[in-house]
Amino acid sequence: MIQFENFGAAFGERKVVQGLTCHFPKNSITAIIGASGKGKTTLLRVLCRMNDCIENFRIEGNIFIDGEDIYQPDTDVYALRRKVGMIFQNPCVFPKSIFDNVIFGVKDIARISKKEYPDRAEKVLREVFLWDEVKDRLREKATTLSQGQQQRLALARTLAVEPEILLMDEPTSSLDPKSTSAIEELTQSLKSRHTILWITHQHEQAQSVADRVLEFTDEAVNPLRPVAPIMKTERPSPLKNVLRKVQTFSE
Amino acid sequence: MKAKAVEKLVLGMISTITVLVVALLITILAVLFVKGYPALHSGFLFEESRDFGRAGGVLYQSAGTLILMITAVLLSLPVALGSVLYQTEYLSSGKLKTFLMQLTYILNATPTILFGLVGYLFFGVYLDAGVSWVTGSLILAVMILPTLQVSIREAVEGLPEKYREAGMVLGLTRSAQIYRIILPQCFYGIVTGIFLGLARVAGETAAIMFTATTFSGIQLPQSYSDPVPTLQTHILILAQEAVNPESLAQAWGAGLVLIGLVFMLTLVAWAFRTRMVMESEL
Amino acid sequence: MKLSYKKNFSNCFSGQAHLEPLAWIFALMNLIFVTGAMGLGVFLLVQSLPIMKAEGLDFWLGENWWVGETYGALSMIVGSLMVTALAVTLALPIALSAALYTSEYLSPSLRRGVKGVMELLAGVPGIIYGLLGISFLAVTVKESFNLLYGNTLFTAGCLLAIMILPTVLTLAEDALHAVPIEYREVAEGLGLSKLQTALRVVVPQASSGIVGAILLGIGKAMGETIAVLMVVGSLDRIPGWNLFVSGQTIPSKLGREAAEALGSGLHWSALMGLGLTLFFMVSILTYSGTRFTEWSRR
Repeated sequence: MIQFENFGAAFGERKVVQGLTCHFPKNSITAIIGASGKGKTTLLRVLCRMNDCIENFRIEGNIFIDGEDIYQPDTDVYALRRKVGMIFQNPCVFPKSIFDNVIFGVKDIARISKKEYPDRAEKVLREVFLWDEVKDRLREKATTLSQGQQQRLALARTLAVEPEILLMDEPTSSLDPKSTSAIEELTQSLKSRHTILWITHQHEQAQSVADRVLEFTDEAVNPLRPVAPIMKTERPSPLKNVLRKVQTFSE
Repeated sequence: MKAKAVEKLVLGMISTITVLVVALLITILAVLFVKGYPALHSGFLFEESRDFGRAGGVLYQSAGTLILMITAVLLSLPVALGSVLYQTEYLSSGKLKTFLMQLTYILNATPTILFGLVGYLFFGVYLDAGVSWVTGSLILAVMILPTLQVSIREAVEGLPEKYREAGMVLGLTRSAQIYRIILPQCFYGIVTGIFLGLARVAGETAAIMFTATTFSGIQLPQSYSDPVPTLQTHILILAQEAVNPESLAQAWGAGLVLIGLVFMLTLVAWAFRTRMVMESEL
Repeated sequence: MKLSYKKNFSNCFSGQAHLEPLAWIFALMNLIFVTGAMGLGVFLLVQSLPIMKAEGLDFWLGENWWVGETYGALSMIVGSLMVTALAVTLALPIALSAALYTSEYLSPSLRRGVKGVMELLAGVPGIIYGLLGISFLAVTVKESFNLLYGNTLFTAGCLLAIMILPTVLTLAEDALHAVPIEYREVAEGLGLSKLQTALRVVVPQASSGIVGAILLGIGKAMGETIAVLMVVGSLDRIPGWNLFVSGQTIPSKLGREAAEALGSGLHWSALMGLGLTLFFMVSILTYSGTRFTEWSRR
């Protein structure tokens, strides 16, 4: 599904990722862990070419999604971004109604007619367990929702465009425990249809949510450890120690 | 000890200066009010001026000022909006952007009389619009272009990045990004610019006094090539030519109307600016 | 930790901007803007060529402006410089010390009040100042200096000083107020008094903004037409060092004679030449202001 080949990224002279080759299979959840500033977010953002607008940002190597190089000059970035949805650390809803927020991305897709909007909205709001909370107030401003609800709304807005890949950049770090577990839970149910990359600082979360883990460490030469499947029952202890360190560091 | 005395002295001086400045400027406002108020009888705004401005009101002068203001902003707004969005959303060359910004600053600092001179030659003579309200509006439209551009640019560049990014990851095209995110989110900023532009036009005299306006003999323009009377020209002529106190009193009255208009527009602009700041902090 | 990068949003989209109708519309609007701005300068230049040919350097060095015979702009140029210099000399110390006091010593609510009044006054039209000028200032000048005639270069300079005061004050105050509070805390922590902090730490930090405010004030004074026209006396002559005589500035000359000369002839070209001279004077100010800001940022 997603294939990085000898991938590197740099902001001007400062290299954040170097020589990364790895593969993310379809319908898997991969947790990405590691200290701040090690290129986790960059890895996600290059997948939907969100870093194009940063001056002096450049990449080397190749990234393939479904066998296609996404950094070809003729790549349709709009189609790419609809195929690859991204959720940010802080939920961002537009100061419009809840309904308008959910269908925000759908409106520009010609093949979905206006009549289908309500059904589409209901479907994705159910998927993120938000339907029961907001079904009577779809016309109210989305900014009146709680942080956790806003994040789920952002997720619903992304799902409405029907992406194949979901990128989640610490989606729960600004949320309360209840919303956190809601998002963790619904991610499991999304696995059957989406390929998910999830950045997190908490190794418990990585362990409970993901099938596999990709870790960014401090080693200068090769900052990456290979992707290793986590066995839910036993995990290599050195990794565990590193994870603890990362966790205490981030707190 | 000595240092402390010096500090006290300096502080005393600058505080006195501040108080005096504020007092002076408030006095100016008070004088305007006191001098202008007697002229404001009940029909001042709704009567035409009579006896070469010695009596009556300023109905057509106000109408002329409003006509020029509104057409100028209507002409200028699309150009300002389009050029700013072209620079922020489409242009990627940094050098060209800097050059265009520099151009905006220079245009902003250019003395307004020069807009009048060049604008008259271009619109009035070459495009054959003559001394008319159309010429005046076009001249004023160019004059307030930088005012509008600066306000719009401020709003567009101040737009929180998260909105742009949220739109981008949904696969919005560049045009969709502009009319679905940037324009609605920058609405208050654009309105602020419009009102600041209106206020600037309302106060302008030099650029239009010999290109668009006339003192007497005309009410509302009947065609595109007619000049209009304006409050600004009215005040200028009355204040310069008047020998009798009635005319001068009328000039003060017109001045009070003009300044009321400018202040009102400025206050509305501020109200929208506050609204803009509040929205962006959500 | 969140790093911030310089962003350029025009690069975030597919590379086919020329296929978007909006791109063409916006490019057209931008073209209109550029044409308008450049056209202003080009027009002034082209239109003043005849007078340059006829008079050569004498246009700037000649003292006599006799319509139909000879056109010398020196008295207008000197008048402009003198009036501007007087206005700046009077307004700057007052505006800057008031700005310092407002930014560093006033309580937030008082500061907002002062700022509000200043910003409103900065928008008062020139014609209103002109009205105030002929009704009060000219009379006061005439009586207190025992002159026959109150409309003098001195009157114009004083009026301009009052006019640019709010603008310079409020912009300089913005620059001072934008200096982060941490700088003040560190400086006061080192034992500097409040005034020392303001003068040695805050003012240098805000220098580029203050210079910008000053240059804008000078530009505004130099280009003001209406208010000056009403009180300067409009007499073309080199005033020498005497400020208490009637004179002429470039904008006031333009305002006086534009209506007579409209359109064609050497007279018009001479006025365009004056306009070009003024345009250069103000543009140099603006340009050096932005260059200074860039330079001090480094």
